[in-house]
Amino acid sequence: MSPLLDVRDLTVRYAGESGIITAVRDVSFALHPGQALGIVGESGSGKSSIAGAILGLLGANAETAGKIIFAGRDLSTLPPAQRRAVLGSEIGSVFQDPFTALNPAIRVGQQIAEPLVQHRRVTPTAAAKRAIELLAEMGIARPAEAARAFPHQLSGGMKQRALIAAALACEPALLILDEPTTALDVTVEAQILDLLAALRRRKSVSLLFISHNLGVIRRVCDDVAVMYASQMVERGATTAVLGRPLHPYSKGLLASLPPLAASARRFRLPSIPGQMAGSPKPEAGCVFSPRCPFSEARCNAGPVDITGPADGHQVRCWKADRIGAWPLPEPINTPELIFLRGNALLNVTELRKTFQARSGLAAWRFSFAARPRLSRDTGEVAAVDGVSLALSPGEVLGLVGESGCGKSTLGRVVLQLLRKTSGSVEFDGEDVSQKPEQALKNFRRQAQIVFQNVGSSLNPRLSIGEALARPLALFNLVPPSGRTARVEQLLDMVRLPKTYRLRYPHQLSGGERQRVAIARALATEPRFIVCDEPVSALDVSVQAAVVNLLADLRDEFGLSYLFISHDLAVVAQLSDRIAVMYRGRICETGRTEDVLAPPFHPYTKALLASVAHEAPIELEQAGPVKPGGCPFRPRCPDRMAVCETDTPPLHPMSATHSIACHLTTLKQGTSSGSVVPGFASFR
Amino acid sequence: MVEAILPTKLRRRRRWPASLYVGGFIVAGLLIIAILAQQIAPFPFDQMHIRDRFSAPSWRYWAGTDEYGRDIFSRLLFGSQLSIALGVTATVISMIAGVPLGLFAGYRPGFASETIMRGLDVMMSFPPIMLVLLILAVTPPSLLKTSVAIGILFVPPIARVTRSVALDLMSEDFVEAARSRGERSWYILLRELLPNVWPVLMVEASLRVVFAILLGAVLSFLGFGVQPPQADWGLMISNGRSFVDQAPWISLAPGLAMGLAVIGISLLGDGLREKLDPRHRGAN
Amino acid sequence: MARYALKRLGAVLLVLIVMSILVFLATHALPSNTAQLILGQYSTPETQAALEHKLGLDQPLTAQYWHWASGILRGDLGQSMVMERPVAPILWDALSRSAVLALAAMVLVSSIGPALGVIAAVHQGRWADHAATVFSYLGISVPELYWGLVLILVFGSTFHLLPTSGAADLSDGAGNYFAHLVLPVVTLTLTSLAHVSRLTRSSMIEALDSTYVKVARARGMPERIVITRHALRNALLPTITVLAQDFGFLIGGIVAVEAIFAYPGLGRLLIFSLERQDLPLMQSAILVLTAVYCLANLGADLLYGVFNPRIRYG
Repeated sequence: MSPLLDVRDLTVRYAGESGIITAVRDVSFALHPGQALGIVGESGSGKSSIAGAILGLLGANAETAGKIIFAGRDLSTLPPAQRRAVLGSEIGSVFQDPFTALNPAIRVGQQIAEPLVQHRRVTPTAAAKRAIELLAEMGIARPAEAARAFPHQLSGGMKQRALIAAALACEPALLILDEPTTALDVTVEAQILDLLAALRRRKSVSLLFISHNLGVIRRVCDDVAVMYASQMVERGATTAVLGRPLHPYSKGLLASLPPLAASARRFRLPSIPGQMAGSPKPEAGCVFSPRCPFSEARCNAGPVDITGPADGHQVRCWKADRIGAWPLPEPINTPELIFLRGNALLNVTELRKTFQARSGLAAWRFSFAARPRLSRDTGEVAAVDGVSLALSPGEVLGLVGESGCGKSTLGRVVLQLLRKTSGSVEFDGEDVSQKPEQALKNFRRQAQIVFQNVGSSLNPRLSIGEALARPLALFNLVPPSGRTARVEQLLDMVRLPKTYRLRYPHQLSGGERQRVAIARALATEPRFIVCDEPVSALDVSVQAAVVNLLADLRDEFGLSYLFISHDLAVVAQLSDRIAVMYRGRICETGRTEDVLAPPFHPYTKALLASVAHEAPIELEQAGPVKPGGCPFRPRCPDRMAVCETDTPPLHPMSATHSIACHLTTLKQGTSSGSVVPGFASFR
Repeated sequence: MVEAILPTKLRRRRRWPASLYVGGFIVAGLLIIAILAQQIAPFPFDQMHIRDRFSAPSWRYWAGTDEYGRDIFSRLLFGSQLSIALGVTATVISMIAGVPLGLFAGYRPGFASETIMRGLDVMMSFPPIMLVLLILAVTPPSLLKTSVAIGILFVPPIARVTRSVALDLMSEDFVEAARSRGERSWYILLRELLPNVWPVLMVEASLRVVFAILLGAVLSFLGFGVQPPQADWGLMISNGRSFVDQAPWISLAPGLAMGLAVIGISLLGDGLREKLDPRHRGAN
Repeated sequence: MARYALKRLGAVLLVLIVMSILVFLATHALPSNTAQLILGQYSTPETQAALEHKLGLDQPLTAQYWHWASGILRGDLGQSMVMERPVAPILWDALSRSAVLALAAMVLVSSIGPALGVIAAVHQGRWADHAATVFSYLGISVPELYWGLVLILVFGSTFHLLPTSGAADLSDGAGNYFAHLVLPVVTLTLTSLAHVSRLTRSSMIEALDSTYVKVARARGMPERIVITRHALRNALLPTITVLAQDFGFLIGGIVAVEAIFAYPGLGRLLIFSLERQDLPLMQSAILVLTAVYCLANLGADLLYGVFNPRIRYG
């Protein structure tokens, strides 16, 4: 069977300010009808340029070489008019960011109908009808309304569904997706992936799926190709490549993924040392060898070719059949700590933080309904709605939730970067939420924060040394003469070379910048650090190293962390206890191993299922929920009558595990956890 | 298939845009002329050669003479001093007032800064020329007064730009990191915000200088700016209006000079924007 | 959308009120004594006091302001001191003449300006773009004064094609009427044109660089549709704002252009009143010009609200 898409020796080069960059180098692969091929790689691997080259979107700054043969025709040599006819009608595409991929000035339905009118000569009326049908097929609840809406009126998940609908409008044979779910919440992602799997079956469309997320690729794709530094280093069936990887990079990548399980404090994640070279030179040798634990002299002797059967498992490593598993790091010799309840370093009690959407004059509303009435509605939203938690010295508490659940707000209120609405935050016995800003100096020194966004956490105008010296100066920790030495010491602690002191943030990679941010937090010799999504913006191979660093620092200095993340696996790796947050409330909390095992709160169950790529929970609902009941009830498959009226409290399932759910509480009260008759759950 | 063999039609993108060089060259030239006008000019700006009135450009008088026989070329050189002084003074004044206002409004959004922004909005709602004329009509005009009036006029746009950049910066994590250290407001404003606002301000400043010079020319033309016998370019154009039939160079020369100066500053500003303003990447 | 419109209207009213106060205060801060001006050689302290009392100039400022403001709302704009005639008809006459200039210029700028900008953006980097850039630089860098003079030189003095000053009435013949309009309108248009086309160009380039345009191309849309349906709609929004901003420059430009061409419009009237310190005339002229400017901005804001889906549909 001849392939649908046959890419041969594709090479893409860009003209940049510092010279010519080769983003893709001699990449070849074939995609057969009905097949789903994944292309996996980290940032800088060149995977997105492949999609760009096939679709001809790379722009004047780029040069493409090689053959891209689609259904027998070479796309790269087609005249523009014919190429346009192929795109959109036979090849559909979905990009990463649904927020910018839809034209803000055109209604959604129109954007879906447009390719139909253009390529299939359908009348606009018929196309509009078809657009509504497509939206319904994509699982959008009120398709006619959605079609009439403008993009800014739809949620992220809905936008992405609309984009997929537009891509499929002309029933293409091939669908190219470039990181389609990266910008979405994990539960929404699970639904979209489910949708894609269903579409594959129904419409027998082939998929070219580009992503950095191995779990997603595993779920969706039959075959996978691994990209590293512009070259393809391994290719084969997904089960083979992800199950029994051959190339050291693939092995390292898979090994450095944190497993979704509790981990004893003495273990560290395997990680890939170093980082991808800026301008790789494959003529000189294997590009991965500087980071490869199996590397030897022959690896740097000359270019390495890809070997293996054309339609089977191929790998670019001459040593592939002789190497074993990626080396595991030695366990650290630290004793497991035992935490006593009484020793809390941080004690948060019934913390609430509300925001007002409107204030002042704008809050007044005039309604003409029954009688003219003047009322005041500030659109108040409780980002944090009655949260209590405690943290002992040396302990790591993981805070997990999706976007909008309030976890970042909670972190900031704990640090008094936002002031509370009600409740208390006690640090080392004192209620810091009551103190005025001037009295918080001591607290500020002991409680620090590390941010998610590595691009913005360092002032671009300050050198690394200046940025690290500032806390030393501010808190008078070291006299001016000793500051340079201390800065070098800090850089050492985070495993960065001393010479970085003189560099500027833009000269560092993402992982290095995050280490500097950690060093800056350490500069004040704190006891407690809030880590707000510290590894989410980093490449997978770098994440493991930073997580290990945080663990090492925790052991060395007895630090406590409030580790906030949406990534349950990473949280599980580092945390002693976990709290799961949904819409401002903690729905489950306990030791890591307890939370990851049944009994579950329904939301935790859904999170785990999404992360493990099993069946997703039902559709999302936008907008606020009326207060008074369980905040999760619109999405809960097991909701009962009492869930509408009573907010469930955190109920202890055991000494170390609490869940806030009426159903689990009930189930606990019966033998063998079966549902009590008379309380029927309805869907 | 090695990269070195494949020919490529790609060329390295230049690091420094061309407009920066050309603009910088012109502006540098302008500054030198203005500083050294006294030394370079062949004649003093008010020296009259009555017998040579209305002479066309020649070797002696490179741009001809005006109705009083004054050498136009020398007057052009002196005029550059006035224009640059006007442009720079007005811009500096507007920044001294506008930047702190903008920083404050961006750093501490609240009732006070909202009021300030509303007030500035009201100021911007007036036709620009109206505001300046109002100020200048009620007091005897002079170069300084014109500069101040234009400077005041430009405060709202400068404050707006500063505020918008400051607002963007406030959501950057390094500012929040500073707050988490308990840094005082003045430190954050001066050491974290201001250094990052400068690049955009530089671009905006070049725009303002251009507008100031142009507006100043119109004002002088109308009689509300610099007064005779100063060699202001706008004034020269105004004087030449009546003689445009017999001696067009009296107006054309200063117009060309102004055009060249403004083009130079605009190019410099454009080049700076390409290099410095992260929001305008790509609009080459 | 209604809320947006109301907010804008409120802002305009506020501006007009503030402007009237400012104008009133500024004119009363004039160094010369109004009564003295009028009486001329007959002025003695007694006659001055009597005239001041008659004109109501000895009353407290707030009372004077109220008197004046309520008069304006009733349509009574006072009496010009220099011309010794009611202000309102003079103003109306001048306003209609300036309006012709402004509208003609606005129409030309709104149609040619964005078109030039779009062409430059679409052919970015090629000769059409370079030509447009040069043109716009020239237009922006030199004040109207200069272009006006060049045009006078070329069309008036050298070739004697068009009249270079004053205005004619329609009753004198359409040809003559329009002939007098050509040079001032062209001068006004040139500067604004350059400005608008440049800004349209950069917002169009931004739109063409956007993800949604990339997506449209990936769907195989012909370039023509990508430009008109996808990029243009988003690029024109900032252009509307710019056109409104430009109206402000236009008003400034009108004052200069009317001065160069001795065109008897509102701008010339304003300068005249300022030079002669003719209070009632000055106040009314400034107020009217400001009102026109505000209303034009209001119109642009409303237009923007209509075309921006985020504001129109919330």
